[in-house]
Amino acid sequence: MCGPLKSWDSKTLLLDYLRQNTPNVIVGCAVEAPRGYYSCSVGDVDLPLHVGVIVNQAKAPSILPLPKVQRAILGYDQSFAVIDCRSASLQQVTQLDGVFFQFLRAEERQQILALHELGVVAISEEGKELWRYTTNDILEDWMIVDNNLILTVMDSSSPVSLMLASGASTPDSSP
Amino acid sequence: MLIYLLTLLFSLSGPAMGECSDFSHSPLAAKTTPQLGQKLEYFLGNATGNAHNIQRSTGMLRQLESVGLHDTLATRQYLTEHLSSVVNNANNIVRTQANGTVVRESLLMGPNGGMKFETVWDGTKLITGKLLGGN
Repeated sequence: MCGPLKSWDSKTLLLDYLRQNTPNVIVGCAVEAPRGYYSCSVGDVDLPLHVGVIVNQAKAPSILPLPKVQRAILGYDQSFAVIDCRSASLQQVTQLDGVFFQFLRAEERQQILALHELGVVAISEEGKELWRYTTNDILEDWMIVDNNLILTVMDSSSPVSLMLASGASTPDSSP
Repeated sequence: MLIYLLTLLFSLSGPAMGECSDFSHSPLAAKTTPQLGQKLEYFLGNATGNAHNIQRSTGMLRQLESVGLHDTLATRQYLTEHLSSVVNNANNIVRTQANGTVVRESLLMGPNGGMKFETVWDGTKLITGKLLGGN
């Protein structure tokens, strides 16, 4: 379960909300030049975990619940965070090479793809990084075809095709 | 003598366009021209493609506008000059990423304030940028 993302006008309002709603966890406390404050709830319907996020980019964060492992993955700014819902704790924060765009699930492989401005990071359902690929320009489009991820980048005429299993580019794909 | 003159000639000729060099430390330093591609459009809110790029692009324009930099010819000229000075400064590299691209930091000033501008470069090619600050 994942509640709607709520935006707050200031850090004070976000922190007040979290003080009144437990259990909670906050992500992005040390972010440089903060400009956005968000919250949402994940996990158990009866006792949800309230997640607060402070960001420095214009884009709203995105949260993906992983009910099987009682965790959630949060994409924001140039990072993704793994949150453990049982212990209400932040497990890890992983840096991306570009500003986070969205999560894409590769269901057959039980993988999550964190797409960002300059490429992709494949994550297991436990939140572990499996592989990453960094493009040589801004990512413009993507799609999964069979077991490959096709990436189209700005200022380049040929797309890149990556094998979902390893992140290696397929032989007929441009580097 | 001929070999000496040829060596001297080549030592003064500087790098070909697109080549990397360490000429920034030389009194004969030649200014490198950055390859901006479509990046000015990206920074000035005119990106096309997926919704994330468009949102990011319009977000960056809002940030630029908050310090008084609107999408005008003057702003485009100013950004081009700023990016040219960034790529020609050997002292602003904050990190080199795993794929060899370098991240450079600069202070971008507008009529109403300034903000940090983090840019990612592959040699002289500008890959992207991130503005920190503004509204």
